[in-house]
Formats: sequence, C-alpha cells, structure tokens
Amino acid sequence: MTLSTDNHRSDLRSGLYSLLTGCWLLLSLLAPVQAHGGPVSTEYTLKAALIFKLTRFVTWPAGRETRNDGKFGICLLGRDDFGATLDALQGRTVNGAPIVVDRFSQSDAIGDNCQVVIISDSKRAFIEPITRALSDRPILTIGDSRRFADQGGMIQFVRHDQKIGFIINLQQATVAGLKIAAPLLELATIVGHGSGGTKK
Amino acid sequence: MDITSIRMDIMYGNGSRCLWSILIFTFLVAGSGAVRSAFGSGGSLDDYLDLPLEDLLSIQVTSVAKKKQQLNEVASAVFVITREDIHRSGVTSIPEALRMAPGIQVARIDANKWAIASRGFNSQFTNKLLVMIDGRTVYSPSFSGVYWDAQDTLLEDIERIEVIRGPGATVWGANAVNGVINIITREASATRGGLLTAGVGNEEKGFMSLRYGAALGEHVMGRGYLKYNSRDSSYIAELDGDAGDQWESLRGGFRLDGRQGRSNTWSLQGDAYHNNENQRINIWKDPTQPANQIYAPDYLAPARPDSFVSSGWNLLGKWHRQLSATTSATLQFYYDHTRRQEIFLTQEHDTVDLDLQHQFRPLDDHEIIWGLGYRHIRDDFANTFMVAFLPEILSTDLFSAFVQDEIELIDNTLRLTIGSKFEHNDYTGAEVQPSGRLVWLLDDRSTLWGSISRAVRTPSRMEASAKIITQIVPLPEPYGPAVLHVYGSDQFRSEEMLAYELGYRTQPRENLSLDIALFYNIYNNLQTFEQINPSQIVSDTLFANKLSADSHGLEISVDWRPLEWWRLQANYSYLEITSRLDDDSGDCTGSDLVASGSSPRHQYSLRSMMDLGNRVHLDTWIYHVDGLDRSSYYWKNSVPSYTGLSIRLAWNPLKDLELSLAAQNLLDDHHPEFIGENMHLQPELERSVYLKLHLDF
Repeated sequence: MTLSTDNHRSDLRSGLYSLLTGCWLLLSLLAPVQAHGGPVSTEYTLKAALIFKLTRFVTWPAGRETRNDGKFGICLLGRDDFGATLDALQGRTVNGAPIVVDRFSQSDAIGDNCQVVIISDSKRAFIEPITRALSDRPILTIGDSRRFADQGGMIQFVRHDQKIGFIINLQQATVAGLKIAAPLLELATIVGHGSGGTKK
Repeated sequence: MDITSIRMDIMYGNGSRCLWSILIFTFLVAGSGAVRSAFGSGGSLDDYLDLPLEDLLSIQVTSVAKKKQQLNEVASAVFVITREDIHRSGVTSIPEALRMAPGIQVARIDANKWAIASRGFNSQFTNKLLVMIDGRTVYSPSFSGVYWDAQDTLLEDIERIEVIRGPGATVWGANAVNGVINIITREASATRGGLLTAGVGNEEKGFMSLRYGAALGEHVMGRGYLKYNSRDSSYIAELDGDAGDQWESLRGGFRLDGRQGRSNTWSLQGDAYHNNENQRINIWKDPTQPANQIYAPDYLAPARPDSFVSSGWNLLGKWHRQLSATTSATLQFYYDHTRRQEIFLTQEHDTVDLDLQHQFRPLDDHEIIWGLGYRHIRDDFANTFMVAFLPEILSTDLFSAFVQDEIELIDNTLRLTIGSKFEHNDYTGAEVQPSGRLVWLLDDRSTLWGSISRAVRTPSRMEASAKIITQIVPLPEPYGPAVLHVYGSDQFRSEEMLAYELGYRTQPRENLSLDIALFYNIYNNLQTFEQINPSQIVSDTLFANKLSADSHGLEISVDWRPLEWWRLQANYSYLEITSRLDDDSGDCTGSDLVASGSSPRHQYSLRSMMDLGNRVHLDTWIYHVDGLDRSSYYWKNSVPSYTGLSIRLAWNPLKDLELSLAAQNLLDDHHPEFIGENMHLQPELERSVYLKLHLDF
C-alpha cells in the first residue's frame, strides 16, 4: 500500500486511502459478527440488554409508568437465570425513572411493584394462570418458555438458528393497556392479532 | 486506535504511511481475534447496550455450557441441596448438610466421624455410596468409604449438592451402588470480591474463613480461600463427659475458571488441608511382648488417647470444548494425595485420574455420551499390631469406559436412556453395569420415570489383603491368649445388586411440588466374616461374600411456599431390609444382623424458612431418625431413635453483613447416633450453639 508522493494529488489520494482504511477497519470490527459466524455471547447478558431496549418501545398508561416511589420496576419471577447481569441494569433509567430490580418466587407477591415482569422458564408449567392473574395490571410480561406467547405472555424470546428474536402477543398487551411502538412490531412475529403476523 | 487519528497520520505523515499500513494490517489479522474474543468472552452488558436493537438481534448465541437437563426430567431419584438450604440450615459441615436429603442416613459417630449411607447398609466403614467434589472421587480405597473429616470446602462457595439415590447413572462407576453425592462448587465468576466469616460456640468452638475472588485477565476468573475450624469433644459418661475427640482443621484452596476463544472453557482448582484430631482408641496389645503382660488376660488398653493427623492436597483440571451446537467434549484430570496417621495405622494414598467424555447426536432423537477413564492409585501403609495391609505398598490400575444413548421415543414426551459402564480393576477383572431408564413427561407439571440397573461394589484393599485384629480371647491354661484376625482374600468378589426404581414428580400448584421415589433392590455376594476353622472354639475369619439381601422403600419430598416469605420443605423416608446368610456361610459375627439393622426404618425432616421483614430470617429444622437394632459388627447394642431440632436466627443490619445465632440438637443434652467398630467407644452428640458473623466486601 505505497502512496504516491505527488503533492498535487496526494491529499485527495491519501484522503481516499484513509477513507478506505477507515472502512476496512470498521468492517473488520463488524466482520466477526457476520463473516466468521458471529461472536458468542452469554445468552442472558444479551437478553438483559434486549429487555432494557424493549422498554423504549412500550408505553405504559398515564400514571402507571412508574411505581409509587417513582422507580421503574423490573421484576424476575422464578429461577434466576440472569444473575448479576440483570442487577447491572439498576442505575440506568427508563424515561427518567431509575430502574430497580426485584426478585419474586411467587406471582401473587408481585402487587404493584413492577412495570416489567420477566417470567423464568422454571415457571413454564404455570404461565397461563400467572399471565391471567397479572392481566388486570399494566405489566409487560417477558419470557423465553416454549409456548410463552400462546399462553398469554406478551413478549417471548425465541431462537432462530442461534440468533434471538421475538414473538409478541399484541392482544394481551393491548388488554393490559400497554402500547407497543411500530418499529418493535416490525422486528417481531405477531400473534394474537388479526393481521396474521409480520415475519422478521 | 481510532479512525480519525489514523486518517490524520496517513494524510500528513509521509514516511510513516508504510508503517501505518503494516500496523493496520497486523491489527486486522491479530486484532480482529482480540475483538472477536472481547465479544466472545460474553460481551458485557455495556457493550450490548451501545448497539442498536437490530444489531442485538443478529448476534449469534452459542451456549458453551453442556445442555442442562431439566431436573424434573431426570430418570433418577434426585434431590438438590441448594446454596440457600446450606446457608439457612446453619450446618457447619458437608456431612451435616446431607441430612437435608431424603433417603440418606447421616449418623454422627463422634466429633470427627460420620457414618453416611443411602438406602441402607450403613456402618462405620460403609461402602455403597460414591461421593465426588467437582468430579473428583473422594472415597478412600482402603475400605471404599469416606473419611468425612477430610472432606470439606468453604460452604458458602458450594453451588449445590446433588444427591442421587439408587445406582448412579452409567456415567459414574463401581461403588455408586446405592447413591451418588455430587458436591459442586460455584464458578469463580460467581464468587467475586471478599467474604469473611467468623464465629464462636460451645461445640463449634471457633471458626473463621476468608475468601477473595477477582478477574485475573480478560478471560480468567479466580478465587482463593482459607478456613479454620476448631471443634469440641463429644460426650461420654465413662470418661467424665469428655470423649476426647476434639479436633482442629485448617484448609485452603483456589479455583480458576477461564474461557479460550468462543468454544472452550477450562477450570483449575486445588485444596490443601491439615487436620489435628483426637480420638480414644481401645488398643489391643501384643501378648508375645513381655512389656504387655500388665494387660493380661484381655490384652486390651481401653480408651487410650490418640492424637492423629489427617492431611492431604489435590489438584483438579478440566477442559470443555463445544465442538458444535450438539457436540461437546470434556477432559478431566486430577491428582489427589491423602495421609492419615492414627495410632493403629498410618496410610497414604496417591491417586491420578484421567477422564474423557464426548457427547454427540449421530441421529435426530439420539444423544450419545461415551467416555474413557483411567485411574492409578498407589497406597502406602505403615502397619501396626492391630491393623496391617499386605503388602504395605501397592499400586492398582482401573480402566473404565461407558456409553449411554438417550433416545427421544416421542418428542418431548417419552425418553429412553440405555447405557452401560465397563470397568477393569486389579481385583476382580472386568465388571459390567448396564442400566435402562424411561421418562414419561405426562404434561408440563408431572413426570413419571422408571429404571432397571445393575451395579457392583468392587473389593477394597481391606477385603483383598488386610489382616486386622478382631479380638484377643483369653483361653484356659495351658493355652495362651488367642489373637484373632480377619484376613483379606484374593477370592473376595464384587458385591452385586439389581435395582428396580419408580418415581413420580409433580407440581400441582405454582408454590407446591412433590417428589416420590420407590425402589426394590436385590443384593448378592454381600460381605461376611467367614470362620476359617469353624470346628475350633475360636477362629480367625476371612472376608467372603456369603450374604444376600433385598430391600424396598420409598422417599417422599415436598416443597411448599404458602407465603412469599415462608417456605416449608419436608422429607420422609421408609426403608425395609431383609437379609439372609447363604446356607454354607459360617459367619458368626452377625453380618446379616448388621445388614438389616444398621439403618432406620423411618426418617423424617421438616424445615421452615421464614423471612420476617427485609432483614431478619428465622429458620427451624426438626428431624427424626428411628432406632437401629445393630450398627456395629463388634458392639451388639442397639441405638435408640432420636429427634434433632435446629433453630437459626439471622439479622442483616447492613446489606453485606449478617449476624446469626444457631443452635443444633436442642431437644436433649446428648444422644448417640451410631456405634462404630471395636476400636472406638460410644460417644454421644451434644447440644450446640454458635454465633456467626458473615461479611461480604
């Protein structure tokens, strides 16, 4: 990659070269994501990041965007597969409200403490009664059990050839008073809505 | 290296253009590896939060850990003792923690000895239970049992203890006849920071431990710990209340866990310990020595104090490679050194073990695990008049292989696992242990399982080649005293068993789960003491296999959380053993009576864990163990039933600080739980109280 010492065209040429180098560098940073089969992540760190980002696309009804103490409650129901990675969300904010992470082992203890409830796969045998019990409150339910969305869960994490995707049960969210923004709906498969679903 | 500065240099630096291009090139080649692994080592949450949602959805996820089978789908009687269980119960040792599992009999013989068995056949030297710590087998090859005073680790760093009753799945080997106990410690990534515990009490006289964990590089986590325990003696009426079995232990260890690239994980751990212990031993004296005439006619010096040392160290390394989404391989290596120096025997063992395991899916619906293992054990005994192993130094080799196929007969509903372990040992040659298990997932909440397995318990060094004094019998004049021994024999065969098991697990409500396991076991060639000269009045004996038995029973376990802050856990175990000596057996020791009488018919346990507000925890535990008709080959007395009550009150004045007050054996001043063999007395366990501080920093 020898560069011409010709002053007249060198500026233009070096600019072009450096631009190409810059692009090459950027591509090399991203290339492992595509070309080499993708970097490996700890599944639950990725899910924790996704959960945080999802909250930007959901609108809670007026007066119910936070708990009584002004904090945004993200709750985990059941076995903790996240560990410290979920606690790392504390300190970040959703629409100005600081996140607080709570853990519950029984759904009847949830009350009004949560805006988001992550239902662990350990509760997979009880998704239906749990989502039914929570449906009277504006709580966004997220889970990764096999039939989570079919059983009333609002956002289900799925895996398509090693990448994470979503299934959204729009009807359940609407009934609870939650609005999900269109950009998120476009990235997901929709169930429980007449439109028949939008494939990612 | 940021793009803007490179561009500036390239634009304005003439001579350095070549240098920059070389640097950029090398960065792209080598650096992309580093960048890839920065993401690959599990990109941090902050890395992901910087990316837009669409990018997160295109990141590939490969789980490096082995496929974790849902516990409720396992075709075995499994009970998991969790970290929370260990913490809230107030137990101060691994053997005491095992009381929380159904089907396990934990009997404390004295302050530093326990007799622990699964589904019967307990004795001081019980041998039908396989115990492992992180995959390292901890049984003593001398008698195929466990010296529980030498098995310990920082209890706060135990992730869980898996207790499996019944013949272990084929992945484990000979001696996993009635059960497997797998003590699993936390990964180094889960134990970051410091932990200090300290406490004082009447039986737990003083204890202290310190642990510190940190990241040692981009891909490696590590921790180190040190712990000290001092325990008081137990009670014995004959010696003015002091059984002389107080002991101290000092132990330290480390663990490193690392990731290499995106599909390899490895770990390296080790411990070293040194225990100064005490016991009172009934010592047989050699009648041929003139100095021992003062002990005539019994030649027994009773209850002599013995200060003994038990020490050792181990190193364990593992490498796991995820070869594809459905294929993986694990290589494990460990070295274990133990030394135990008691007044009647000094023994040293060095074990080297190498294991390879491979898991793959040759066809849809078939998951095969197979493995190879090699173990080399070298022992070194210093014999005494009372106990001798012949020869004093011996090395043995164990070769093993196993294969198991898990077949999905009906998707997510019916699963059949068939497999077998093949072993070759220096005593009995080849042994085969096949097993078949069927799981039926009735629905999301219930599982029915059944299994048939064959298991063997191979001879120990003692049964193959020991010479141990059983008794010295004074004879009428002109005969001198008869010194009677039990001899090991190369004719001693493996004990065999055939197990039929059935189990049902259900979770009828979100807060209630129930687990039932039933079993019927048939045993053959169980160990007896055969008289060598039955026609004489007194005779030496020989280890032989002329006992058979059958057992049946059930274990029930219930977990109920009536309120978010209150959890109840209850267990019940029932066991019935019928034993009969072979027609041609000349056993006069009562081997059949010990086989059927050394385990309780009923055991139950109830634990209540209450969170009173945010900062106070009250935990209560009551357990009952039925009496034993006969627990010892030598001592013929029975052991009465007992009920233990433990209460623990803990207070968190600060988030990282916990103060607790714990009491055990509250219902009586002292009670016996088990009687050991002829060398030992019959001490009783006392009421115990301790105060403990637990600080995370």
